[in-house]
Amino acid sequence: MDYRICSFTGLKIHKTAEDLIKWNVVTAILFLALGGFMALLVALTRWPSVHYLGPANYYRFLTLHGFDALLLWILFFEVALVHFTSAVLLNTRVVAPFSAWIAYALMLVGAVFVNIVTFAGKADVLFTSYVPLKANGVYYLGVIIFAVGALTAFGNFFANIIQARRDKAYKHTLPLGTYGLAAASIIGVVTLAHGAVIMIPVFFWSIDLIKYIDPATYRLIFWGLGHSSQQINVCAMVAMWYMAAAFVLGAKPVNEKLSRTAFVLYILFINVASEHHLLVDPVLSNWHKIVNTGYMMHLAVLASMIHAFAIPASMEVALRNKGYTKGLFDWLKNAPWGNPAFSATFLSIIGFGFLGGITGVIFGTEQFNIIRHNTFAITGHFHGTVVSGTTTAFMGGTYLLIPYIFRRELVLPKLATIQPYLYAIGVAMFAISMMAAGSYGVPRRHWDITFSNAIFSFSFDPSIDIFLSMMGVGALLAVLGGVIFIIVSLGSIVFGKKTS
Amino acid sequence: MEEEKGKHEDKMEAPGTFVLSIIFLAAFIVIWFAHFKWLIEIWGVR
Repeated sequence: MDYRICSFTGLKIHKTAEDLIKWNVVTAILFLALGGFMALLVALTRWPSVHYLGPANYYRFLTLHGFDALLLWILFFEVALVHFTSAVLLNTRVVAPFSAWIAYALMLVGAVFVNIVTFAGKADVLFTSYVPLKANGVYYLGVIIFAVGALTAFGNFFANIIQARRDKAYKHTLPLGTYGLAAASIIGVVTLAHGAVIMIPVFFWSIDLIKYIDPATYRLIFWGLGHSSQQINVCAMVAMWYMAAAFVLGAKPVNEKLSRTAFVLYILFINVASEHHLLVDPVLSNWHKIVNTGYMMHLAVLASMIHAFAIPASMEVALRNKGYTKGLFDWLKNAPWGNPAFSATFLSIIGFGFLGGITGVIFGTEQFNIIRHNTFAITGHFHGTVVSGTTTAFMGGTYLLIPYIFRRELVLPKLATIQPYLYAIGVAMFAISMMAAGSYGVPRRHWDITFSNAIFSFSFDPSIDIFLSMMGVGALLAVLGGVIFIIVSLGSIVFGKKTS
Repeated sequence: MEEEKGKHEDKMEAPGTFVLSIIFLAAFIVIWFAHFKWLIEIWGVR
């Protein structure tokens, strides 16, 4: 077997695992670059004084932005974490390398199919692709191929764990990082099963082999895929938080059993809570909505609250053990804020909690949802979770993987130091501005909020112009932070000084 | 007696995080009630 010992962590790294992580991380970053570029175009269009794109291109690039940034960047990175937490963290090997590479190839082929057909203008259906909006069959085929690849990758994760157990690579239970990815993989399998149930019939519908798809059934099952896939992200992000705290500070969970229980809460309740997307949908009964979003959702939120306090607490304990014990916040003052892996992790926790978490609970309440549904506030909320939370955490993860897996030093270290702050401030600014504009009723997704050719005229409160302009400035800052991340990460991978 | 003394010395491991959690809770309550204000005053829901 071809192994090496990591000079930073002491972990035994299987060559195939290393290669798989490298390819998945680089592919993820390239799709982040593409999705980020689309984000810039979309944000410049929602900025009223710029209003850059025409309607066709706006919806086309919004579809691509959703697919590339929300699905491809995040899932390719998660598959890198799948290999890292199973093969590397457990000091074992990739059991089925051929299957792992097939998984990567399928995901890439699916991703390319979707990008090409959308760029060609044959799939302007947005991320949700709500029936009866119909895209070219290649779009749905691409989604299915990508999903099969991701499912195969999650299968590889479980195979590696079984092998590690046989090799006695771990004694009693899985390390918390691996445990978190196990939760992500279980949710992943459930999510992709929903995807298969709905996307395969829709593919046949798109090529006229099936005549009718019930839109209400589509919406319900789509969110079993669409929202649950975000729960894979949440689990992987939280696992990344635990790993970053452990690698950077040597932090140990303050109560490991509690943290594990919180991951189990995600598995049990977070998928059911995905019904909050349908709170204003007349098809579902109130009983259904209340049980799901009044009870189930809060059990999943409880899990996030446990993690969001357990991880800073573990950081505090680790820093206090290093001697920073003066007062309440000496540990915080002396934390390694210049290390981008740490700062990105901490900013991710704050952003996810304050921006995404609080607003998620509020907008997921039936009575509040009725005034916020389909407004720009919802877009602000999920940029608080997925961008401020997951993307920032994965950026921090990349800064760790560059020395550990790519065996390179960071190029432009000063830029790398400021990057997480620039990105987090930009994202916070545009997410808060979106929520403020949405509070005045500004719709999400809509190209023309002046409703210029509508039969009835309508104008919003003039203050929305300030919020939408602030959103534009925040988006520019975030894009600048994103560009710096791509330059530093890809630059380090290609030109960085070798570490060993 | 000794047991009682031991209890007094039992300090919180992460007091800073405890304070941060209180700040989070306060923000949660403020934002939640701000939405009630929107619900009642801006949208006229009673």
